[in-house]
Amino acid sequence: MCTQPKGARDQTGSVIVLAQLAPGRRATIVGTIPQANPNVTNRLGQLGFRAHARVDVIRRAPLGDPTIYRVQDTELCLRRREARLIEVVPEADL
Amino acid sequence: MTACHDVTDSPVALAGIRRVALIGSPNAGKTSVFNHLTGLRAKTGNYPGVTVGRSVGTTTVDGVAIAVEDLPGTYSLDPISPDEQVVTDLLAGKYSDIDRPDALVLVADATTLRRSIMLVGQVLRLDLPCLLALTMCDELTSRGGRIDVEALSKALGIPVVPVVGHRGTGIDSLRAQLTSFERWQRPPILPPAGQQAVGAWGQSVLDAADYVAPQPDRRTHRIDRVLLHPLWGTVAFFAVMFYFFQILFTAAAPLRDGIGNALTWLGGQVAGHVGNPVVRGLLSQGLIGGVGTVLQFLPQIVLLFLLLAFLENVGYMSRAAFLMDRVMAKTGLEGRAFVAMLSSYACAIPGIMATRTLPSSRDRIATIVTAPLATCSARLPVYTLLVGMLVAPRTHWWGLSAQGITMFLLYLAGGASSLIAALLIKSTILRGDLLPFTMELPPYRMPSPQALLAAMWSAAKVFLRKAGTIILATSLVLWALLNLPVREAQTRGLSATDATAYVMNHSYAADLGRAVEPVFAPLGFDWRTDVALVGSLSAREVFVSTLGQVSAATNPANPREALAALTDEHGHRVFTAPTVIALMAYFVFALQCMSTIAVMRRETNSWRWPAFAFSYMFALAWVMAFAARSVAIGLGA
Amino acid sequence: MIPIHATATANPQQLRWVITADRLPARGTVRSAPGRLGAMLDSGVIDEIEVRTADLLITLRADHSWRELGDEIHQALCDALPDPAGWRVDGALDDTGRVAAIAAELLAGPIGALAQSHGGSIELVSVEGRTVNVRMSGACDGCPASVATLHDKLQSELRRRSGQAVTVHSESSSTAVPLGKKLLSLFVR
Repeated sequence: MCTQPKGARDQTGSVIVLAQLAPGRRATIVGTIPQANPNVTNRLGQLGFRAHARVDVIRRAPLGDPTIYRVQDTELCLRRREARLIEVVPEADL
Repeated sequence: MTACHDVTDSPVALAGIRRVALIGSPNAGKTSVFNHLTGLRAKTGNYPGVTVGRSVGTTTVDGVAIAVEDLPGTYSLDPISPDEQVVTDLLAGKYSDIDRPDALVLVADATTLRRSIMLVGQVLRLDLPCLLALTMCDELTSRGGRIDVEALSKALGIPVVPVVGHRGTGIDSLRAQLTSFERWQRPPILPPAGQQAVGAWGQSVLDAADYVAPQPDRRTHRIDRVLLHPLWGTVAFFAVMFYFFQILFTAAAPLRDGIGNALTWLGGQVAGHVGNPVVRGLLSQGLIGGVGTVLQFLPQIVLLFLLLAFLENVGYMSRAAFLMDRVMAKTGLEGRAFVAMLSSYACAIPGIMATRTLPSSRDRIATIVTAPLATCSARLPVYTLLVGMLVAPRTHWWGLSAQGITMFLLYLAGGASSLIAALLIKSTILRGDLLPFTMELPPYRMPSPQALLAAMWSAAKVFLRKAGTIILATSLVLWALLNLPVREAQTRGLSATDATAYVMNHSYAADLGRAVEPVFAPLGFDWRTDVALVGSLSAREVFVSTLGQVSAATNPANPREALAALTDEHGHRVFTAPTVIALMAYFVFALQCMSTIAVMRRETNSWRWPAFAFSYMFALAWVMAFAARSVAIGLGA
Repeated sequence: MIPIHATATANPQQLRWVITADRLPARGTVRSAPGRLGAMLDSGVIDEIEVRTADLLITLRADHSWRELGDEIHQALCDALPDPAGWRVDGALDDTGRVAAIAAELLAGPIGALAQSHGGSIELVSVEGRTVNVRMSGACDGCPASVATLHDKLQSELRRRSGQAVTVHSESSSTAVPLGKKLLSLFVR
């Protein structure tokens, strides 16, 4: 079967949002959803959530929100509200 | 990170001397560098028009004084809120009464350099003399990373000084460079503009510096697997909270008793050796009585601040904020507001200053005006007195100490009311501005003893100042008001006790109390309680010492009994159960602390918010006291 | 975007632009360059551009300063570097033969195998200067995805092995090849 160009949907390479990724998974960021507030996407970019960057989902709070992510050598937490804005391509299960 | 700097109100004006500003992201170790350079003698103020605090200090190099300004931590010079705009505007020279800095010291954490290189690129584009202070280099190498500082300096075109924050190494060479910023190496061209271009530039620079990023910190991961575990993490969190309140109530008890005994001894000495009754009264009641109450709680306050400083510096507070964020979000606030509220249980002043970590100014203000509802340690002597009057010492309810349960309920009321008030305020007048919630969780780092002592001392200093100035002054004034005018004629021939009682009943304070009486009459307070309440506007502890003076006048041997048995003009007992309950309710809600109001004014940069806080809390206190009294009467108390 | 930064040299009119080797054009003195960079070189604003192993040296004429031109030249460089074919560099050895040899080696080896695994094939047509012309046929002919993959892989390997900014040109990238021509290409093979 031919490999298709980046961005298309196939089993391991589909584009989802960061909020959908479970703890323990790893993904590559492709961008932010078009409807996102530019202020918010700017801040996320400054913190390291940029295209081509790798993000690890570390853990979720006991009450379900927020979630700790590891991106560019830092661990920081985002609420679901913000994690829903980041588009990622998950890597295969480790 | 909060640093409880010296509190003064004057705006910072250091004309004519050279100014250097520290700029860097939060958690980069900037505050530590600032403290090392300025030695905790910084003055705080506000930037014009916003609620962002401003810290400026001085450092001396070879006899030359240099102003050092600690700019608020920023991730980028592209602001997303008016508060962040402050840094960008300041650096662009847009403030007419604040000069642009002459030089900048960038403080960057070597372990997160891949992210902070972007800020470096943006700052260099300002075309000011720049120096990079690189912190945590030791941690970088111990976590498997690497950097060639010389090569980095060459690639950036600016001097780079490695600094180990908590040990202070490198600070001296950094300080030495501050006088010669005109001769600092400057980059041949400015880095490019635009996020993509700066990113590419940064990558190139780090490659040239042989930068190897560190591995994730294994120790932090191991600890977090427990401390942030759904079950064990929650258990640990409650254990920390429990320990916190344990210190509040019991751990410092021996020290408190020790100080209490010392004060009693001192009072005895005064009584025995001071001949003049006026001076004797002034010393024993005005001075010892007034300030003594506060001093007794000093050990407890210091221990609490030490614990809070430790938790903050070791990195646990951000974990606590992470665990509590969902709960805080229900009130419209965020996890970091929890840390501020927790600090307020020791004293609202550091709690209010802890709101500086909140990026949203609306969250900050909402937390500032509701933090005083948290049961601060100043309420403890008041509650102890009132609970003692209401509930007999050995009583037990359902097997537990009745006094303990009552105290617990009062504390609960404070906590619940602060959250509810925050919810109401955030859903009406300070509705959310939709700033994203992003919070860094730094690795766990063992705090240096100096940093802990510094944090603890600056908080304790505030408390001591409150005791030494406000409470002392108020106590002396109240003493004077309660013992003047001296009714020579009328008291001739009366016994000492009767004379004092007469003078008190006809003193200026009595006039004041009776004038205020109509306001508090429905709550069942008599003029003496009213005088005590008015006095305690300055600080809650004054309530106890004022009533102490009043009851000592009636019955010097056993003031406790005297207080309980106090009667008004009509012979009715003043401190009936409904009245005491009303008083408790009043103190749960009322803002009785001038120091808090002063800090609110400083942190919000206006009188509007302290006035609002005082008014709504007074109204709330009155209404709740009335309600409590009515319910108590209704239940036949 | 290409990672690039500039550092000072002993000569204040000259800056050293640090770029990774695989993004650099051929080594030597630059005669002409694409876009704005070339225009500045031609007009004399830029005195000289020299390409070395891991960096580029750009010298400005005496009456210009880096402070004023820094951003402009940075942008011009970033625009010019992705187009290695547009550069004319003196002192580059005649590597056409060398490049052809490497290309043949790759097509007989890993790149050819890759094409075969997709059910197609790839062959060398010619090498002109630093442009390598190839033809793809078989199952992958007409499939834009596999053409792109093969093209990219061949080009990056060629560049890496030869140290030159080689460009690969594929002759059968058209998707509308008529059946007759397809049959003819099968015979020609």
